Amino acid sequence: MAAHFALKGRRIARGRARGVVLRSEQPISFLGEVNPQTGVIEAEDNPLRGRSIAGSVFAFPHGRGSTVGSYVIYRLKVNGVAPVALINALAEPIVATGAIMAGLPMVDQVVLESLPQGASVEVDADVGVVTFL
Amino acid sequence: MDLSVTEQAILDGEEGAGAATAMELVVGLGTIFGSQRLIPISSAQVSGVSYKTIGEAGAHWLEEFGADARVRVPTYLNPSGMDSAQWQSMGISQEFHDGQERILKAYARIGVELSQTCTPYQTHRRPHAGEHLAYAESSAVVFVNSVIGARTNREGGPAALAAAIVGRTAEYGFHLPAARAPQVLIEVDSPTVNFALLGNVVGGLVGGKVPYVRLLHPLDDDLPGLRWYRGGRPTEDELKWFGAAAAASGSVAMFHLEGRTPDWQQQSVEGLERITITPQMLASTSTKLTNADKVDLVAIGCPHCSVEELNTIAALLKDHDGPRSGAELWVCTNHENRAAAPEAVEQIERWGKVIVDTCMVVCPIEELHHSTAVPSAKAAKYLRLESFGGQKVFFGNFAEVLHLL
Repeated sequence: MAAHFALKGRRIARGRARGVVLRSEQPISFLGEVNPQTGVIEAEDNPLRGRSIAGSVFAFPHGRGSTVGSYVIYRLKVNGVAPVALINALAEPIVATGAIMAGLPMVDQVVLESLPQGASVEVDADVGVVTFL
Repeated sequence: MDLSVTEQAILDGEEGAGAATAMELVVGLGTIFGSQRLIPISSAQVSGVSYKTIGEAGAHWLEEFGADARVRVPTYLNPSGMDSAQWQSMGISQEFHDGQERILKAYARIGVELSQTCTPYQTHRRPHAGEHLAYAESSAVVFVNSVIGARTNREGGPAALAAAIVGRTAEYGFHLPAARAPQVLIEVDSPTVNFALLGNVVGGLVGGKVPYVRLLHPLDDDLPGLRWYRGGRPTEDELKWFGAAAAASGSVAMFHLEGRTPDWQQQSVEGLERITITPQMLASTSTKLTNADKVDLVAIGCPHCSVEELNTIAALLKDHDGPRSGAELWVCTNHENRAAAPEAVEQIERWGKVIVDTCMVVCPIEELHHSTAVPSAKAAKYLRLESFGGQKVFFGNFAEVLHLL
C-alpha cells in the first residue's frame, strides 16, 4: 500500500470522514453567512459566495459571530447539507460546539495553506490526522 | 487533558449517548482553552431557551440529545420567549407557544429546573463565594464572578448544559486566579452615575478585559428613579445593571469595584492602563442609545427585577399624575420576586403587566410593539437589532421611562 502524505492536527470532535476540501480564506459566521437550508455560503465578502459546503471537508481559519451559529451547524446536519468534516487553523467555541452537537469530525491546528482547494482527503479526528488520498 | 477513570467511562458511552456527547463537548472546549483537567461544579445556568433564538433546530437538538441524558447538579434556565399565563395578551402566536412548549418540555426531561430567569442569584438559587459554576447568561456570569465571588466562564448554552450533565467543567479562564486579576483601571469622575450607562461605556472601552472601577466621588443619593438608601455606594441592583451592560457592549465576564466587590483589596492596579470616565462621555453615550421620539411600550426588567426594583417602580407609579400617554407597561421578573412583592405587583398592574418567565429581549416583542423605552443599556443595545425585534429605543433611568406612560 502506498504511503500517503498526512497533516497532523488536534482532535476537537470525534469521528472519521472522507471528502473533497473546500477552503475559505476567511473566518465564517455560520449565523448569517451560511444558508441553513441549502448549505450555500452567503457572506457578501467571501469569494466562495454561492458555493455549497454540503458534503465537503470544509476548511476555514476559525469561526466568528453569534453563538447561535452552533445551532446552525446542527441544522445543516438535520437538513442533510452539512460538511462531512471541519478543519480549522484555530478552533473557537462556537464552531467546536456546533461540530459536537452535529456529530461532525473536527480537527484544528492544521496549516490551511497545506490543504489545496479540491484535494481528496480523509479526516481522522480521533487521532487528529488529515491524510491525502 | 487528563481524565479520571469515571470521566473517561462517560466519554466512552458507558452512561449513554447523551452523557458521552456532553463529555465530548466539555473536553473539546477544554482542549481549545488548554485546560489540564476537569473540575466539579455546584450548579449550572443554561441559555438558549427562547423559541425566538434557537427555533426548530434547538428544539430538535434538545429532544435528540436529551433522550437519555440527565443533569447531575442543580441547573437553572434562562428566560424563555413567553409568560405561560399571559402569552396571548402579549401578542404571541399559537405556533410560537407550541414551539416554546416543546423546548421547555425537552429541558424538563433532562432535569433542568424551569426557573426561566436571568437573575437566579436574586432568588433562593444564589450561589456562594468560591463555588465553581457553569453559567451561560452573560449578565449572570459577570454578577456571580464579580459581586458574589463565585467562578464561571461565559459558557455557551449547549456547553453549560453539557457541564450540568457531566457535573464538571474544564478548568481554565475565570476558574483560575490569573484571569480574575484587573487589566485596566477605570476612574469615574462623576458624582451622578447611571450604572447601566456606565456599564455600556466601560464594556465598549475594555472589550473582554477585567476592569477595576474606582469611583472618584461619593455617589449622589438624589439620583431620580432610585428609592432606596445606598449610602453613597452602589446597590446590588446597580451592580447588576452595570455588569449586564458591560457584558453586552463588551464581553466583560468580571469586574472589580473599589470598596464594594469581594476581592477588590487583593488586587493590584499598579502599572495598569488608566481610563477616566467623564460626565460628557456618559451623556453622549446616553444620547446615542436613544433613537425614538415617542414610545408605545415601557419595558423594565433586563436583567429581571429584584423585589427592591418592583417596590421602586410601584412607588414611582404612585407619584405619577397627569394624563396617561397610552403606552403599555411591562415589568419583567421571576416567579419568586413577583410572589414576594404582592403590594408592588398590585400597584404596577394598575398600569400594565408584571411578566414572568420572559423579557422584552427574548419574547417576540415585534408582534405588538415598535418603539420601546428601557432603563437597561443591554436591552437598548439588543432591541434595535432586526433579529431582536427591530425596535426604536428610548433609553433613560426608571423615573424617566415611567414618565412616558
